Amino acid sequence: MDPRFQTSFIPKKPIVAQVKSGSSSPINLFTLISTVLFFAMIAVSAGAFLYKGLLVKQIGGGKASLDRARDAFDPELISQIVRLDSRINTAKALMASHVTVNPLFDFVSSITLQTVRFKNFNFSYLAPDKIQVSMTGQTRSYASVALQSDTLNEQKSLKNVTIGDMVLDASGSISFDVTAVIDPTVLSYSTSIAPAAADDGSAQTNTQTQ
Amino acid sequence: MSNIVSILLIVVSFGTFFMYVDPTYTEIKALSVEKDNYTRALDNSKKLQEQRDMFLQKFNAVSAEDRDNLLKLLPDNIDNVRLIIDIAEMAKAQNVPIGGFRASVATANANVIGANKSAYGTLTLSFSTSATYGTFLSFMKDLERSLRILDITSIGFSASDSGAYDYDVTLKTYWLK
Repeated sequence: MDPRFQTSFIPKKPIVAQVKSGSSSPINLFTLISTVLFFAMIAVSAGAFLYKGLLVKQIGGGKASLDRARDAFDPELISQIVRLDSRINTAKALMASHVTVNPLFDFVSSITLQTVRFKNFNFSYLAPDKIQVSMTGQTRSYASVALQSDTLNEQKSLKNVTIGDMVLDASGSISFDVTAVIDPTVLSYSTSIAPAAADDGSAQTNTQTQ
Repeated sequence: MSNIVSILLIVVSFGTFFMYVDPTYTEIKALSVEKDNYTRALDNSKKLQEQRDMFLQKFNAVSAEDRDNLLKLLPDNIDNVRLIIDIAEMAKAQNVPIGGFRASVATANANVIGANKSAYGTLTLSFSTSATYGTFLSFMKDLERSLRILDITSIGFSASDSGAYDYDVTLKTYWLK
């Protein structure tokens, strides 16, 4: 009898087929992870591709809209509007400091005594707050000079009134120099002429409407 | 065999990430910024369009005649020849002889450092005339009625026994730069 012959009835191998779980499990997990990663990457790539396409399309649309808006602006018209605005504002600023000399002559006439005459007249607009007048007067008596000096000094529109260089000539006339600084409001177009012009305009309008 | 396929998938995934997804993401970020800029620009253009419409309404409210008068008030250039002709015509209307025209353009203020940012330029014009006092006053009134802004900055005259005085007049006028 063969001693290797097994006489035991106890099976050496299990009757039910043993489920393999130990050694094959890590391989499946690795495969799963790699598969998930691969498909996730495909999804992300597709998403990125589509989103990029969408953005490019939106940018193209935005650019086209902006070009249309730019064309609708009509740069030449904008330039005209800006130029007109600049012209109006500059003209306003210039008119605010615009001077008119005619009121000055009326003013000098009104403060000149009947016994005095002015031979020379010089008007200089040196600065908005420094408008100077210098004149050479002629009269027959010192009393007239004194009276003229008083009249000039009484004027609120005149500052720094100086009377000097009094000379008695051979004919008995007395010459004297006057210098003064004039209040700019006397010569201001906006305070002297413009309101009068506006009044004339409204009067004319009233006449026309009546 | 299964492991090789898995490794291949991972390699392809990483390759895709580095070769396509990452550069595309960078591009997307740049494109998003560009898109935001366009959106902002469009919003601004809408606001500007509203303002333009408002200004256009105001612009149209100024009649062509007023715009023409404004152009005479403050012309686009010095145009001193036209000014001299206009003044000579005014003098002729008053029968006042006129001459000795001298024009000079004011340069930037030497006391100020930097560019002259004034919106307008200044022309100084001097001339001489001879007339009676009353005629001269009428001539001055005509000058002041001129549409162009004329600021008289200097007048000098001396009386004479003949009744006609010699006047030296200096005025300033302006143009829009």
